[in-house]
Amino acid sequence: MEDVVKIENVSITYAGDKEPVPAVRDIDLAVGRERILGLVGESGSGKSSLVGAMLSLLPASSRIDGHILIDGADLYGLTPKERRAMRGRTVATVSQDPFTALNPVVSIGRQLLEFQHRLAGSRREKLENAKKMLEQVGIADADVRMKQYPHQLSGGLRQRVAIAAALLVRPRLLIADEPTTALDATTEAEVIEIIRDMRGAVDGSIVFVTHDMGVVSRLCDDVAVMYAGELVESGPVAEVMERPRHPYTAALLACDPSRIKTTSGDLPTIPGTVPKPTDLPPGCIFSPRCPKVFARCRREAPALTAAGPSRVACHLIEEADAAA
Amino acid sequence: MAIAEDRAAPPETRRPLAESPFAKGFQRMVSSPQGAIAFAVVALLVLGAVFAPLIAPYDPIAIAPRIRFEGPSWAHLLGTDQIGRDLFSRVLYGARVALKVSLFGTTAALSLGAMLGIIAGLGPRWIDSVLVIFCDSVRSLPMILFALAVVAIYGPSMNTLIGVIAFSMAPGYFRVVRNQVLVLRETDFVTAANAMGASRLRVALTHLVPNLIGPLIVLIAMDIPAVIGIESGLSFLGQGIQPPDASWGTMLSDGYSYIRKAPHIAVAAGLPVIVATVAFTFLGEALRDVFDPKSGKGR
Repeated sequence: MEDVVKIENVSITYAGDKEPVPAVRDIDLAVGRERILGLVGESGSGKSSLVGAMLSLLPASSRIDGHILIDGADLYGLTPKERRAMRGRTVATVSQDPFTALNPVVSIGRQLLEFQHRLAGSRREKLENAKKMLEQVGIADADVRMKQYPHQLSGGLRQRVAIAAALLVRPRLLIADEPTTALDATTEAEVIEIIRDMRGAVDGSIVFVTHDMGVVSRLCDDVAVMYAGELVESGPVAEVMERPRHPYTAALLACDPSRIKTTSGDLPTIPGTVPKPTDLPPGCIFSPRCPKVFARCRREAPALTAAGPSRVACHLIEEADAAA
Repeated sequence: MAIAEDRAAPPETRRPLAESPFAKGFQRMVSSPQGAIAFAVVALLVLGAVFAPLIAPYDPIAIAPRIRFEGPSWAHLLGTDQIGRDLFSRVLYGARVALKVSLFGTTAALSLGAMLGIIAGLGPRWIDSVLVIFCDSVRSLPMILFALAVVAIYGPSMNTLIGVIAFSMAPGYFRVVRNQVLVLRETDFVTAANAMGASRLRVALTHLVPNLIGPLIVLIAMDIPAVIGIESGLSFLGQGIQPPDASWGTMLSDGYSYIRKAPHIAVAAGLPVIVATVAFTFLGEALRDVFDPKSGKGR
C-alpha cells in the first residue's frame, strides 16, 4: 500500500524565550491511501505542532528537522513558492472551532469561492461546485445557504460548511484538527458521519486530530498516540483498542467514560501532568506517571519497536519478548 | 445557540433572507429613536451641503449694505450679518466647507492610518514598533498648537486644513486597524486561508478589509465632530477658511464681534456647529452599539 503521507524522523523545535523548546521529537509515521488516521494525545503532546508542520503553518521561528513527504514530495525540501502551490490543492484543513473558522462578515458562497482560488475554472463553475459540495455534506437548501452569513447558521451547519470548504479542492490529505470538540454530542455524531461518508471525496487520506478515544474507534482505521512530543504507540485501531501495549495508551483508554464497564464512584484519571518540553525526565518520558515503571525506564529511553501489527515505544515489549 | 434548531424548524418558518451584517446593522441603527434622528439630521446636513447652490436663496458672499444686521424674516430666514450677507445661505455654504473638510480629512487620515496599520499588523515586528512609536508621538502633540504651527508655515487654506487633519487623525485609524489585524490574523479563518495557500494580498482583501469596515465606520462617525470643531476653531481664529468665504468658524468670529448688537449672527453660526457635532456623535454611538459585540446584541 502506497503511503500518501510519510513523516520521517521529524522534530520540531520552537525558539523559546530562554532556550529552544523541542515540542516534537523524532516522529516516524505514515498514513496510507484512503486511510483515516486518528492522531491522539493530551494538550501539549505536540499533535498540533505536527499538524502545523504538515500544513506548513508553523511560525518562521520554528525549526523542522526530518522529512515530511506528501505524495512523494518533501514539503520542506521545496522552495517556499512550490510549497505554497501545494497548499490549497494537496492539503486542506478543517479547524477546531466552527464559530471562528468562517469569516463573520463574508457570505458563505463568497468564502467557498475563495477557497478554490488555486483551481482553474470560472466563477460560475466554482460557485456551482460549492453548491454541489454543500449538498454532498448534507446541507439541504444550498442555494439559500450560499447567500447567508455564518451568524445565520448553527454550529453543526457551520462545521459542515467548513468541511465542504476543505473538500472543495479535492485534497490528497485532509487534516481535521479536533473538528468536533466545540460541538455537542448529537452534532458530533453527524459530523463524524459526514467525514466518514466524504472519504471518497478526499483522493488520499485523512488525519483526524482528537483527544477522544471514542471518536477514534468510531471513525479511524489507524491510530497514533502521542505523548509529550513523542509517538508512543501506533497501529490499526482495532488492535490498539483491543490490546493497548503502551501503559499510556492503556491509561487513556481507561479514562474514556464510554469504555467503563463496572460502576464505581470515581472517574479514572492519569496522575501527574505532561512534562514541559524544556524539562523532560531522563529515560522514558512517561516514566514519572507510568503505573508499570521499573528501573530501566528511568535510565534509558525506549525505541519504537514492532509488536504485532502495532509499533510501541516501551521497554515492556522487550521484557515480554525476552520472557517468552 | 440552538444547534438542533436548523433541523427542528420547518423550512417555511426559517428566515430565508440572506442579509449582510451591514444591512442588518443599518436596520438596527435606525430602529432606535436616537439613531434614527441622528441619521435624519446628518442626511439633511449632507443634502443641504451638496445642494447648497440650488437651495441657497442668495449668493453667500454678496454684500448688501442696506440690509445690515437684519433679524430673521421670511426674506432672510436667519437674518443678515454686518455687511448684509444672507446668513441662511452662508450656513449652507458653511456646511459645505465643514463637510468637505470632514470628508477629505477623514478619508486621507483613514487611508494613511489603515495602510500603516495593515503594514504594522502583518509586517515584521520592528516595523510595527517603529510605527507604533511614531503614531504615539503624533497623538501626543496638542492638536491646535500643531495646527497653528503648520498654518504659520504653509499659510491658511483649505488644503492646509485637510493636511493637518489627515496627519493628526491618522494615528487613531492606525491604532484601530493595527489592533484589529493583530486579532484577525490569529483567527481560524485566516489560518485556513493561509493553509489553502492564499497570498497576503488575498487574505487582506477577502478577510481583513470586510472585518475592518465596521469599526472604521464607527470611528469615522465619531471623528467627524472633532474635525468640524477643528475647522470651525481654526477658521474662528482666522487660521482656517479665509473671509469672505463662508465657514461656520468665520461666521462665529463675525458674530462674536457684534454679539451685543446682533446676537442672531452668533446663534446662526453656532447652532449648526452644535447640531452637526451632536448628530454625528449620536450617529457614531448608534453605530458603535450596532457594531460593538460588547453591546450585547452582537451580530
